[in-house]
Formats: sequence, structure tokens, C-alpha cells
Amino acid sequence: MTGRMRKLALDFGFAWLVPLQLLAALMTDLGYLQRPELGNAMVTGVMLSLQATTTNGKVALWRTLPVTDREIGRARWWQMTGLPGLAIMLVMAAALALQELMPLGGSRRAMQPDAMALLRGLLLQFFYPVFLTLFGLAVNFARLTRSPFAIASTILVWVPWLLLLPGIVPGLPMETRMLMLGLAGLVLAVILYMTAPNWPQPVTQPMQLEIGGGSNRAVTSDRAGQGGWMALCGLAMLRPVLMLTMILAVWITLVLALNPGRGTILQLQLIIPLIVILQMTQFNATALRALRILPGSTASLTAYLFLLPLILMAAAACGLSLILEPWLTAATPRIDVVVLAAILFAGALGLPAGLAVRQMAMALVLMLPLALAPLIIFGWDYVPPPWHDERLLSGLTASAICGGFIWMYVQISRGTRVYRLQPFVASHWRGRD
Amino acid sequence: MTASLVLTGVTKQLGGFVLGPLSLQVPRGSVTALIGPNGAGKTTTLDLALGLGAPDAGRIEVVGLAMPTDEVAIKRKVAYVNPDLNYQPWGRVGRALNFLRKFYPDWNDARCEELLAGFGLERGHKIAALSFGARIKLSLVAAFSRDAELLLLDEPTTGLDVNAKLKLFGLILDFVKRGDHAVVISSHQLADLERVADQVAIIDKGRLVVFERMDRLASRFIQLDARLATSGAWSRLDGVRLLARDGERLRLLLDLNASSREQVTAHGLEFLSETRLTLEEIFMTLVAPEAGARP
Repeated sequence: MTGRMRKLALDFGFAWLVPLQLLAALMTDLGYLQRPELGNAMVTGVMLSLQATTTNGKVALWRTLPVTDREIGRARWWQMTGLPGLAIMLVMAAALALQELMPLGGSRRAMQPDAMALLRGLLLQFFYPVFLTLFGLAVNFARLTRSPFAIASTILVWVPWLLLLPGIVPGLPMETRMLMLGLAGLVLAVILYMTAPNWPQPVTQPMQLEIGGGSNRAVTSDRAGQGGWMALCGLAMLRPVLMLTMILAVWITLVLALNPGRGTILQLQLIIPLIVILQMTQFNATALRALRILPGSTASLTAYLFLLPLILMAAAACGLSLILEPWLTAATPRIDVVVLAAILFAGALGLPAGLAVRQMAMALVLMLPLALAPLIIFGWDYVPPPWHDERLLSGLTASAICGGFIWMYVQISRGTRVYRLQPFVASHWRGRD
Repeated sequence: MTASLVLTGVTKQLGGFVLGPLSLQVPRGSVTALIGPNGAGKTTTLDLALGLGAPDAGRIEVVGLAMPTDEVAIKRKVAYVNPDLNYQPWGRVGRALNFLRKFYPDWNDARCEELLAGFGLERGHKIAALSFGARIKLSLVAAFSRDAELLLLDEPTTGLDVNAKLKLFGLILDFVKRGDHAVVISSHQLADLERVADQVAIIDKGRLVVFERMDRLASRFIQLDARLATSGAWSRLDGVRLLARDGERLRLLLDLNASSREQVTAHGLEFLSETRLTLEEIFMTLVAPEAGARP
């Protein structure tokens, strides 16, 4: 690796995220060491590949630097595949060392996975960055050529994941299939490395998805000045609802195909605020100035942009508790107050935080619902009362909703600062004049 | 008839930047140019006028209504254009316009179609694929499709081609012809503003430096080339700004509202020549740091 290539490969957009990624990956690896199962093996690869999702966007700038296309190609490989692979090995080594140094006592005594299970886990984790690289190349290929084959390739790259479905290859145990997928990833990584200097440059033009939103044609049938706020509801909720539906559908398919359980449902529920906050933050950051000039009061706009997403979160969480969970696990339908409180608590603080805090702090806010997951799953047995009290949790959540509403109102009414802080939206210079 | 926009002692602090205290009055039937260097406070002023943020102190009246008490009514009567208005979440030009139409009973469909054609936009255009200038055009179409009473145009000429710019100035002049309508426009295209504006407000570092009718501005500020005749205390005079100095020879900007030519002569300067300045030259001399220390 040349010095220039190294500089490019280490050009991380969100360097501050690295410690968080490593910490999350370490926790999941410790989980895998305790229970070397498929579900515990996947997350590390995902966590350590977060940086890779920003690589293609940087290439337009890299091309203006005094570096060759070959160096750019290799740097892309390192950032998307090589470095996540190295990190996967290092984190697993750290997890092993940590387990040796601090063995868990009592009934949760650590199990020692054999070398084969470790290898399997590492290879499977590594498949994710390889897949992400391939998928990125396929999308780029499709955008460049627009050919049917290129578009089909964006779907074909998902095919290897089918290996994880039970019964896809009769008689082959899950462990073998995991190993096969991991080895395929290793071979693909080598091929990608060799071809990296010749990868086409990524298309950096923004991609506009055609998702709903009504007709372009001039409307003259109804009177002007009517139905605006209903249209705003639809617009604001469109992306969160679509994203939630899509992710829920994928998740439900996986749960049905793999291992349905309470833990999986809980993970699914706690992803809800993450998706809704992220989508709403992006929407607010992009459209808030345009929305603020509409003839509505700050309070009504706050109500739309704050209460609607919370209602969506609550509806999705209750739907999972009352319909999906009983269907998948034959449990009695009931609303889990603890989970609902956690979701609304995170949402009530996350939505205004998206307008108030900078990108790094916003990332931490988004982690909040995820941080609540281990607390709910593992911490309950160890946390002393009164935290078990559902009334207390409901009270805390109600306070968070009231506080969140006021916080959001203040942010929107204060104005100018809101438009300059745009977490998770492409950076955009905003002057003061 | 009340003024279109009245700012009285308005201040706003944003981090280390302080706007104001700012007091100005925009009469109906006029075009007011708001000019200043980058970071002077122009956008903040326009934002405050529309309620996109609350002032720390002072009073804002828009079309005879008080902000923030009548925020909604004001927004119905004011149109606003800014390069940062991002309609991308609406996807297509037509969808964005259909959405906005639902909020304004005074929306004029025929005029909207006419403006779209005039600016070369189509309802089916993807907003993400529009050029920077075309996005401004979309904001302009949205603003002029209504029968607003006050137009707040923040850098509306940014990215516009020459034809679109001429069309915009034509629209502005048509708009104010209606008598009770007014326009406040901030731009760095000073030559264009000089043609279209009735009065000008120059803001620098959050302070209102000058607020004057355009036709009076050129006669109010003059550039003097002078020689130091005696060691008179000319520097103590109000409205005299040293632009350059070469030994005994001085170049000064004189604000005739503050000091007369006779007062300057009486304070030890001998006039060599006098030059009338354009808006751009007045702006540059007023916001430029003063040359050297005075004697």
C-alpha cells in the first residue's frame, strides 16, 4: 500500500463513530463467544462496515487529488472490504482476551467455542463487508449502464444470503452453510482486490426515488388553500412509513425463516424509533425552511412534526406486540408497557435532538433505543426496583413527551440555527447573511 | 396606509454575531434593496421578518400585523424566496407546487402555469436533478403565483441566467406597480439593484450603516480628492471617511448629511476634485475598513 493510498483508505468521514462501532462489535462478539449462533455472528460485520457506506461518495473528491485511478480503486477496496476485515479479526481477538481476563460468573458462565466455530463466525462476519462492496458496485453499474442485466445484478448479489435459510440445501447443517458463505466471501474479496484498480467511478449525482407523493399535473378541480395540512401529514410520514414497512417485511421474513423468538421481536421493536427518528431528522433538515414559511403557527408545525412520528412509533410497536408477536410465538397478545415506554422515550427526545444537536451527538441519540435493548433484555434481572414499576416508566415517558414537545417548539421557533445543523444530510454551506 | 414592513430596535444574537439594533421602514409600493457583505445579517433580518426565528428584542410589524402574534396571517400575506428553500422531499416540480397551492387561497393557477413556462420549468422535472438556478426559479414561481402583499427575496438572483434575471426584475416591477405591494430584496448584484430599487439599506456586521432612498444616495455620498492645506482638525468631522492617503493628498468619502463641503474646507482641506459614486462604489467604501490612521 502506497502512502497516498493509505491516506485515502484512512479518510474516514465519521472518525468519531469508530470507538462506538468497535465497542458495539466487541459486545456482540462477546455474545457470540457465549452462544456461537448465527444471530450473534452477523452484527459485528454490520457495525464495522458503517464507514464503508460513505466511501463511494468520497471518490468525486479523491479524483481531484494527485493520486492515480489505481490508487483510488485500491483505497476503495481497503475502506470497504480490507479494513472492516482487519477490524473483525482484531475485535474478535479483543473479545477472546476480554473473556479470558474477566470470565462471567454464576449461571452465565462463558462457553468456550471451538476453533471451527470461531473461524465460522469470523468468515461470516467478513461476508457482510464483501457483500456491501459488491452491492455498491452493482448499484453503480446499474446507474451507469441502466441495462436490464445491471439492474438484475443488484438483486443477484443478494442470492448468496439464501444459503442461510434452513432447508435450502437438504441435509446440509447450518454450521456448514455458514462456513460456505464465509469462504465464498473470502474468494470474492480476493477477486475484488484484484479488480479494484479497474472499478468504474461511482455515480455521485443524487438519486431520486419515485415514491408516492401524488401527481405532477396541475390541479384546478379543487379550491386553492385547502387540504394543505393533510398533505403535509402524508408527506412527512411517507418515508418513515415506507422504510418501516420495508425493514419490518425483511425482518419478518428472516424471523419466519430462521428463529422466531421474543428477543428478535424486541430487537425489531427497538429499531422502530431508530428508523423513524432518522427519517424524520432527514426530512426536517431538508424541508424545514420550506415548511416554516407556510401559513401555520409554530405550535401547529411542531405538533405535526413531533406528534405524528410518535404516533407512528406507538402504532408500530403496539402492532408488533398485539399482532406479530402472538402470531410468531403463540404468546398472549398484550402491550408491553416497558418496551412502549422505551420507544416513546427515545423518540420524544430524539426528534427535537435532531434539530438541536450536532451530528456526533445525534448519532448518540440514535443509539439510545439500541442502548435500551440490552438493558431490557439482560439488565432486568439485575436492576433493583423501582425501575420495574410500569407506572414510573409511563410517568417518565409522559414527561419526556412533554419536554420533547417544548424542546422541539423552541428549536423550530428559534429558527435560524435549525437550518444550519443538518445531521445525516449532505453537508451544505449555510451563511449568516 | 401602514408601511409594509417596520422593524423597530430589532436585535438578535446568534453565537458571537449580533444583529441590530435595527430600525427601518419599508413603504408600500416600493422596492427596498438590502445589501451587505457576507455574514452581515441580511438573511437573519429577512428570516426574522417572516417569523423564522424570534428576535431577542424589538418589534416587527409586517403588512400592518404584529409578529409573532399574527404569525399565520402574516405568512399568508408574505412570499419568501431563499436559495436554501429545499423542495427536494416533494420529488417533482408539479408535486411541490400542488402542495403549496393547498395552503394559499390566493393561489393563481393560470399565473403559475405562465410562470413555469416563462422560467422554462416543467411540472414533471425532478427537483433533485434541477440546477441550482432552476431551484431558485421554482421558489420564484411559488412566490409569484400568489397575490402576496410583501415579497421577501433573499439572494433571488443567485445562479439565475441573464434572461431569468431580467424576467425577475420585470416581475418585481409589475408587482410593486399594484401600489400597496412592496418588495425587500437582498442581493450582491448591486448594478441590478441600482436599477430596480427605490431605497437601499446597507448592513455591515449586523449594524444598519445606511438607509436611504436610492435617488438621494448618490447625492448624499461623494468622493473627494483633497490636499491637506493646514493641520486642521478635519478628522473630527462627522461623516468623513478616509479612503486613501499619499503624503499631503487624501481621498475621502463625505456624507453630506453629516458634514457640508464648507465645513470640510474650514477644517483645513483644499478640494482638488469631487466624484459621484455608483451604489457599488458607495457600498465598497462604506463597508471597507478605513485606510490608515487619521492625522
